[in-house]
Amino acid sequence: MKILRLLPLVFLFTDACIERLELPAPENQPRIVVDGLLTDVLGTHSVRLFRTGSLASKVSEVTPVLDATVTLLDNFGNSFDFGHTGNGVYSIRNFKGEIGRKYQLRFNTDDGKHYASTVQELMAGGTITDLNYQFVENAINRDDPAAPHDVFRIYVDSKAQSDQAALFRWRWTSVYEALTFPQLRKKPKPDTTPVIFIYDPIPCSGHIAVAGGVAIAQMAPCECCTCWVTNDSETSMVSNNQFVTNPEFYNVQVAQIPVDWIKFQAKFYIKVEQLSLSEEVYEFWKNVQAQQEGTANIFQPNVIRIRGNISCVSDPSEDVAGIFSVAGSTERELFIERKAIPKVLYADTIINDCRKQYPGSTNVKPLFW
Amino acid sequence: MKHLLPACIFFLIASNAFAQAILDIRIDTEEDTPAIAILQSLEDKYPIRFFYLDEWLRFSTVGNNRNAVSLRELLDEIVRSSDLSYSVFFDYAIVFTKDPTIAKQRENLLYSAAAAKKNIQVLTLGRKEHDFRPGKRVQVHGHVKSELNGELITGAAVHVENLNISTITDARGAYQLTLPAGEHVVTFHSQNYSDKVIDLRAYVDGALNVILEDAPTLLQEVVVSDQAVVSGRAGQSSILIRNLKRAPTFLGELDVIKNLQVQPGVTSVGEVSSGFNVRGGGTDQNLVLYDGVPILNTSHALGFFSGFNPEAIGTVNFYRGGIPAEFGSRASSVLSITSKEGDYKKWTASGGIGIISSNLAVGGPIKRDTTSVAASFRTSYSNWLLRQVRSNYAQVGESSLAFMDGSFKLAHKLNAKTKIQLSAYGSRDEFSLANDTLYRWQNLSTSVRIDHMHSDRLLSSMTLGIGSYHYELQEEDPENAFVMRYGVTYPSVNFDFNRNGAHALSFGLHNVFYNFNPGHIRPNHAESTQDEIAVADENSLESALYISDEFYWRENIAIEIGLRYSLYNRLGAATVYRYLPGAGLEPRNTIDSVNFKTNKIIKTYHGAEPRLSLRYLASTTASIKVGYNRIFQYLHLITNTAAVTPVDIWQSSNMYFKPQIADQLSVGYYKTVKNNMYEAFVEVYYKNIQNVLEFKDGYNLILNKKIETALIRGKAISYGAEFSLSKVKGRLQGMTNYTYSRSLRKVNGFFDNEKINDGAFYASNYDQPHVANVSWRYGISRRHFFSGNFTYHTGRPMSVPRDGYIIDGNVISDFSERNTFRIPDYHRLDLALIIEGTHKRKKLLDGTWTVSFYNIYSRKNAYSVFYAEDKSSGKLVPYKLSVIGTVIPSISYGFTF
Repeated sequence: MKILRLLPLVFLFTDACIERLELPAPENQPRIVVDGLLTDVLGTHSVRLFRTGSLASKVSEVTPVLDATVTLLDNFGNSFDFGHTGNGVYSIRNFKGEIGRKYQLRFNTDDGKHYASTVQELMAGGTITDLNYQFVENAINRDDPAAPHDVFRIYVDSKAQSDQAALFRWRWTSVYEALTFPQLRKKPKPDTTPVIFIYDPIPCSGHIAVAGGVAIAQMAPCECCTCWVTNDSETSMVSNNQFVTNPEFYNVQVAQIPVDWIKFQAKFYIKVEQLSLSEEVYEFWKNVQAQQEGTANIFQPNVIRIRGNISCVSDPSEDVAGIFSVAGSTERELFIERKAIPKVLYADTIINDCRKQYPGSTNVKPLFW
Repeated sequence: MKHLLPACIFFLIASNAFAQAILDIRIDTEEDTPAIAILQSLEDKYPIRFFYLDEWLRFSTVGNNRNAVSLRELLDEIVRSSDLSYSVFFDYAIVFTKDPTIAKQRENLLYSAAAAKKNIQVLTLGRKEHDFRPGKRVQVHGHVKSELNGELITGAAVHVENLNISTITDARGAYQLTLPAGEHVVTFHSQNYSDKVIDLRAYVDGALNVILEDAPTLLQEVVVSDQAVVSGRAGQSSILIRNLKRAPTFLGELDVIKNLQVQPGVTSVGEVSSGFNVRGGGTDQNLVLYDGVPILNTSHALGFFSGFNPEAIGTVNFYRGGIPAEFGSRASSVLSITSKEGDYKKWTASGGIGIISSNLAVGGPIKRDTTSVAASFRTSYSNWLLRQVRSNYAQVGESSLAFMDGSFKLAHKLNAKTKIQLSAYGSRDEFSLANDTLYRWQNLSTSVRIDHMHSDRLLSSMTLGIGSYHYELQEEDPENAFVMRYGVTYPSVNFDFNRNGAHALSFGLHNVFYNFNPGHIRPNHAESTQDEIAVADENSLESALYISDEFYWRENIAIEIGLRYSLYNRLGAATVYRYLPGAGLEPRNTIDSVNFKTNKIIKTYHGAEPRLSLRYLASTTASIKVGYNRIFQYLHLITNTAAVTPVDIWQSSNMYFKPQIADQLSVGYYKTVKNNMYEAFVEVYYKNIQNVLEFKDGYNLILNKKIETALIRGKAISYGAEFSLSKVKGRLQGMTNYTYSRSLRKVNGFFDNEKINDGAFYASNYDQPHVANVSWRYGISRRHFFSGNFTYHTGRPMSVPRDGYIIDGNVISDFSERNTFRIPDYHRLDLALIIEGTHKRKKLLDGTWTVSFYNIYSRKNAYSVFYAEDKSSGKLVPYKLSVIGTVIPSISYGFTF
């Protein structure tokens, strides 16, 4: 009985914690990074060249490489020049890659260094045989009551051309129509106690305050009430070829869209692009995916080094990052109507210029809308 | 008077010069001639006189048939190993003298043993008058048994007091000594038993079997060491359970594996981790045997505790170098645990009450002196530990863990020569992360062992065993709900023979069959979108024949030379994929597959594994030991995490995975000083392992039907120097050791993604160059101990993010080359106060209180290191999880009755 009396006296507290691990910063010279893609779709193809910032700087804070000459070569001896369109982006217009042709990207920087990608063959894009979606309740953010809980999962069925490996990467672009109410802006009426709020519509709404601010009247079309917001995929999604014998994939989840009122005020558009990659580029995106999936897991797999396909020809010891991809592309799109959501969404009245509310959005209605 | 001294000196020098002349006389001898007869014939032939007492030389004979042997050699042979000596005077007189100090010393030894109330027994082997010959050497061998339960005692010290030489009993309680024929005082000592002193008169080879009685007091221990100088092999140590009970604990849990980790050459990668690393080897390279059956997962609660209840453990032997031929199949070390047998005389129970778990062990006779039973059980009852973790990253705080283990042993003596033992062991763990994913794992092992003594010298054992390790992952979220199972089952049959004698032979045949179930995942909820995936079973058969011979060469060199020949067959049924020749092993390069029928041989590997262990006794207090072993390891543990995870995969060798082949050479110098009060050693080693497996970046290992595409082969080397100093007697006992070691790997395949760090050598995950341990135990009184240990090691290697950038909307972090940075160094100090019950022999209950303080200066050592996005920069940065962030006090109570 002695024991039983003693045990509760023992105060237990392990003080377990997670904290930032401060390590000596690795030597970090700014490096050149290449972000380029050429597909078999006629249009503008771009290569972005930049130098990385310091370890502590934001990932988006980079230095564009401005005075480079960028050239694309093919295995027929042709060369195509890319022009600088600003901010380190070099482009070629009205151009498309040819399936089966091999391409190499080369560029020189103003300090006289020469860089080149490995030679990449353009593979046929295959087909997306189906694109569909499924509403899933309570899939995310279960511990956060304020965040969205339900999602739409987007699935593709896909097929490669029969004579080639199905090394796919899927990326997507979504567009939704976001409505705001800039005409409902109010301001306190001067010299009143208690404070009385009166209408003060944002000018782009086309409305004006009338009757001393107690009502509004539309004088012109609203230019900032309806915006189209575009989002691109930010995670890597490549085909899992582990169990594949035929180059076909079924029900591959390529995106997960959190459901909230803003996105589904009207309807939601998503376009999935399937890129058919060379082995080297596939390997790159597969590792990116593995790195993203392993993040913030205490049983995290060992770190993954991501190698690109660019090297410095004039100084092979220079460390260059990034990837120049050459890919056959195929796309498929769908709309998700609001009625596909089997529940009521809580609406929120946003009183702002929609272009300011959703940076990067536009008030120009897309052609397909 | 003043001329006398120079005169004496002159006389001595002169007589010495003449003496040389007569001692050079050449004579012929015949076999077994009495010494007196020879001397008399010499007196007849030459002008020489011998002066001696008949009784001194009565039993002396001269051995060999020789021609033209000098008189000096002859006389040396007669007096060798006796208390006689001789001198030459005046060129004709040879005077034998008897040194009274040797007889006196023997008498004193026996007198002091009697005074200390030690048990003295007289034993005579042969008859002096008949069998004694000066210079003759005799082999004395035997067993040491416990009076209490009739068990053979491993590690008992056998000390020949008058010669100051020692040995210890082996795993079967047997020992062997080579002594000059004559009278000796031999002391048998083992922890927790009263010393026994034998007044031994050995004139022929013979057996000396000893039964030790239970010790009435525990503190009067003379020796706590392994007798490392005079016995054992390079890289061998044994762990004493009593010392374990007097060491600080983590949350009151006694732990064999934790105790192992303070031995030189043994480390672990973090605060807690499943398994241990020996001399730069992987956690899969340790053979852990429980009553002869391998145990694949030795940890509880993700490595916080080890899976063995100390109350159930009898002996623990650990080999990290010069591994005997009896053991194989793991490249780096052997940890052999033998469970305790029940008492054959009376029922006893022991147990412990701790904060995390409690345990109870009961044992006793079913039939007195014939059949005994022992059973133990331990279970946890608290989840509080993980609830302490405050984290925004992983919901560790919502996690839970529970574990239990149990063992059972039934021993029955069929007759005086045959004994049968049934042993069973099981452990089970449950761990859930954030209430969703439930991990469960369990070990089971059962063995039946029959020991039979064919003669005084030949002992055989047959062990039939079956072991298994299974784990299961269960996801309960309906959308993703699944169950994933992994398992390995391995029945085995071993035959071992041991023959004592001048050449102690061990030989045997071992067979183990492995059945791997590499994984099956299936949805367990109607809404689940999970596909069902099953990877086919893998079967393999590993066999080995071994023989080893232990003998003395030139009295002070003990040699154990052995050979193990192992044969491994990977068996069907299986589908083996083939890949495009000349292209990398990648899923996309699959060209076809070959189906093998059940039990059809897919691939065979075999090889000879030479073993050598050599011990040169340079003096009674110093020895040099050399050990060499080659070991084939046919199983590989596949993991792509540096930290802990319960879901590692064991992969058997096949067409694509060759066996790991380890060669290790170690050389050590051992020394005791101050009458064995201090023991010190330095040991250096070099180890080379071929065909280690590393994973390719970004590949999935679980449920991978083409796992050969995810792994690459490399080589590993490790080397180091271990320095250890122990004080093994007195109120303050302790050990301090320092190890400098490196553990490097090299993976240089043909293709770019088959190289790691551009094919150069890099630090392995468990490369920890500097490791130091200090542990001590101070006897405040006979029942109160203050003990502690301090441990330090270099942080394990890791890779760190260098910078980040965005490509096509994806943030990509760029890491340094593999393992070029290190996590912060690990160090920790633990203290404990142990209060033992009264040491009276007759008492109802013997209790021990242990008050422990783990991590006394609140060091936040890393449990795991992971990477998460830094909100301000958007880049990945390293975070560390310290499960133990403060001092952890605990109190536990252990009892026996």
